[in-house]
Amino acid sequence: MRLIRCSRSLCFSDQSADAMFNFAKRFFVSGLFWLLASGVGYAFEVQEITSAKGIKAWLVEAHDVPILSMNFSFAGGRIFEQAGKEGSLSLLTDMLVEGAGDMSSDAIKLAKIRMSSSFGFYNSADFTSGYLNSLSKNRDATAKLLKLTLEKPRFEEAAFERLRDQALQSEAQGRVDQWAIADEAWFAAAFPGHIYGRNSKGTQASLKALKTNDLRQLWVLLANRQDLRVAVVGDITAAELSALLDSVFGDLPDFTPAKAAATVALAKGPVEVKIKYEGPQTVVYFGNPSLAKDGSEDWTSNVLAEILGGRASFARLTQALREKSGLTYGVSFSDYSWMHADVQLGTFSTATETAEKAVAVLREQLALMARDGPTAEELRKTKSFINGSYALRFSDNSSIASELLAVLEQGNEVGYFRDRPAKVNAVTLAGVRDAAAKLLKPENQVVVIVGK
Amino acid sequence: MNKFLFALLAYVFWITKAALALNIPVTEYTLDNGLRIVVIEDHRAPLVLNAVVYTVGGADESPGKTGLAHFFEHLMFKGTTKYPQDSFDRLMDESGAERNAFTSLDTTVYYERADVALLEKLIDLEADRMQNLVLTDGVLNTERKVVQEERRLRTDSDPAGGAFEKVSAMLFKVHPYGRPIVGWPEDVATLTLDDAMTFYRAHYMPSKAILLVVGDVLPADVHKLALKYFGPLKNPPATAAVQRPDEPRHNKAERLELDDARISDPIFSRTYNTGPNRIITAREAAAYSVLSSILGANSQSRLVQQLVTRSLTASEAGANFGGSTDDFGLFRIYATPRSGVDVLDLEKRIDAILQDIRVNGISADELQNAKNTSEAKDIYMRDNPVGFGIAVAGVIASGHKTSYVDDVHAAVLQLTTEDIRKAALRALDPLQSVTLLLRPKR
Repeated sequence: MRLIRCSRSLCFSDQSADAMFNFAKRFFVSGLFWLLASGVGYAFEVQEITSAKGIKAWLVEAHDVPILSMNFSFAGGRIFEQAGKEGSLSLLTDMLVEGAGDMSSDAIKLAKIRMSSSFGFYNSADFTSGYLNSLSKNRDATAKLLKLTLEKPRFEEAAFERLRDQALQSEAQGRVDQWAIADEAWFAAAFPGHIYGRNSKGTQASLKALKTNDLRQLWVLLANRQDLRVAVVGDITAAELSALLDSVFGDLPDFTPAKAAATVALAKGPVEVKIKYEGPQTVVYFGNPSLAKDGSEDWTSNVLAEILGGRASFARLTQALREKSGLTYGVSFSDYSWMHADVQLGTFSTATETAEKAVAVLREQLALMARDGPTAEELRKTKSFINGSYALRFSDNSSIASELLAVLEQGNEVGYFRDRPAKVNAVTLAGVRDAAAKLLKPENQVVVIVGK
Repeated sequence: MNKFLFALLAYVFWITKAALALNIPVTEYTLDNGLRIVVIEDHRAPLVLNAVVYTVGGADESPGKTGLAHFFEHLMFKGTTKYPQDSFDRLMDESGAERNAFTSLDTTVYYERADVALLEKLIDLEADRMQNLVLTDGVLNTERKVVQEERRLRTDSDPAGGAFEKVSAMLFKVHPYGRPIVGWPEDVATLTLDDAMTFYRAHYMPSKAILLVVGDVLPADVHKLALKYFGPLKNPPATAAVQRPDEPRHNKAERLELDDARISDPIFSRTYNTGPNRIITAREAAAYSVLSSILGANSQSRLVQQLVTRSLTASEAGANFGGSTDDFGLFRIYATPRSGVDVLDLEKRIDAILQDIRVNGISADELQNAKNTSEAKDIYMRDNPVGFGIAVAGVIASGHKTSYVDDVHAAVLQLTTEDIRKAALRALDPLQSVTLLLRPKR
């Protein structure tokens, strides 16, 4: 019985069948793929690990430097916050590093400094995530601290009061900061009534009403070993990682979190919100719905966003708003697939006196793209850019771990790395033109303008 | 490599032995025309960073021409006869390469990150634009607007950015570190094509540049390419360099109090001019760095422990030391008072913490933690050879030998608690400081 698909770095052909079986009982390794970059194939090995307790992870072994980077996330982010308890997840992720089990906040922080290790937590609307960086020699001790933190966070009142005060200050600053105002207003206008439309920092009222028990209850909803994604890069073998996964995550509750929010469509447009703000610049947020991906890995809307306002210098908005007119220092436009919505969103800032002109140029470019779509040459160049630039994300351990986790969070299989260039190249001119006509029409636009 | 070629290379390059900085192999060469080359091998992925570091920055501008170094950095992307902007952009975009640049007080750095197969083209492009840039008034005037937008974004729209511009001007009343890198608006508005070309001819040449290549390369191959493309470049006749005037020591502590409607809580900061950077020893540089770490780099540091965790007077506090500038070091303390705490009360507590470290120094335990952190950084740095390479190039641009990186690192491990106390006395001299209180405008 062949339970292990052998990879280059993990072959046991010289072992007896019994040894093989015993080994296989402990963990599984499968799914070895090549990552292709710039059209030039180069070896990049992503191993799929399943530990004895069933924890899955993607691993890239890199033994050149004696360090380890691990990123992980639990399904469910701010969408798990109950109405009236906005801001609780941010406080929760901050509080997780403030003591666990028999160790005080200071004891854990000091231990991390002494080991030159780090771990911490962050969140988005859809995920609650964490990271760990450690020297190889301190890997097990750091993992033990992380395990304690995941299983027995203290949520002490003193730390809670201190961090809540910081959260209240941060929320207050968000109400006078021009970009934060624009950001909050765009999401509120685009997703009225949905959790995506709420301020991630919460409100003064919601933060003041929170209790440590709210964080405890939220953590109980989130921390599980079933709907967990783990990406690991560094100086560790598959066998060692399998043991580490079981040690860190293996004793977490075994359940799949309930779906907490419904899929939501962007608000019916056109929506234009103008907010008065005294400052030398005007900040503009603009967006529209994107194509529903439903796990299809369809790159059409991504390619459209890249042509319009991506990172390449030929992007139309960059050309029109920066290179040809000097109206802005930079403009961006990206395609986002969140768990419950697919959108395209862009931003730029411009001098107050040129704001009207810049918004007119923006609308003209959107209309032009909606009417004619891109040229065949733009499509060719963009595909080339998307495929070529991807390799740059794989330069060091922590960057690779972040990218692997992002790919996992999008629900992809490990074959993603093999198939990605072909999926990008499969986008057709007709497809992008149809998408442009459908997505960029004026009645879809949600625009927020903050300035004088 | 054939014998002839090796002999040729040995003749043309002044070859230094490969040094080991922080256990990372660094190979250095110098071309006959003075171009210095730094190669750091990283064979983990078929990628390369190609960078050219020019030893000219914001502090090298003439009075009335502030912002020129940074403005010129933007103009360097506008193309040459051989590679007009379109063809440069096309090559970068279609390969998915990343390219950018940044200007500091002392250097201007241009870089590309790309598939290693592109290296020859990247070196060709950088060598070409070192001397063959083609500019017009039209190009310059459009880019001026972009630079003005950049200033509005980073300085005018950012209360802290605008305040620190004023703090720098108070710290350096004579020396050009007091001028903003992005330039005073009235200067940027009047920079001309002639200003740009004069600056270009005075500062962009092989003898004032360092080629840094990090990635899946062999040093000998980089040398061959550098010889092919940079080798034929000549240095124009030297022009009179703009001398940076010295900043006399100040004789009183200064304060700047501002209010701004775009902040909700006060911001406290105090910035010290730690004195001439060029003449401090590796041990002194190491001591400043460790001092900043013990004062405010992590959760266990004094400012965080005493202000944020224990006394609950600040929601945020920290310290950092900018020691990479050529002429003067800057040591900065910062804090935000917790809601309801008077920023002046917070300042008193900070004064007490600083006075304590000046008088009583630090504990052996604090020093050992800082040494451990420094040793670990050595290992983590090996996962980031690009960041390491930029740091090495900066050290060379400052006039140090590459071994200075190792010297500072080794010095950290030799430091005593008395070294840190002395460093605190020297670095945290109130007379050389500017305190900023930025308050919300009600």
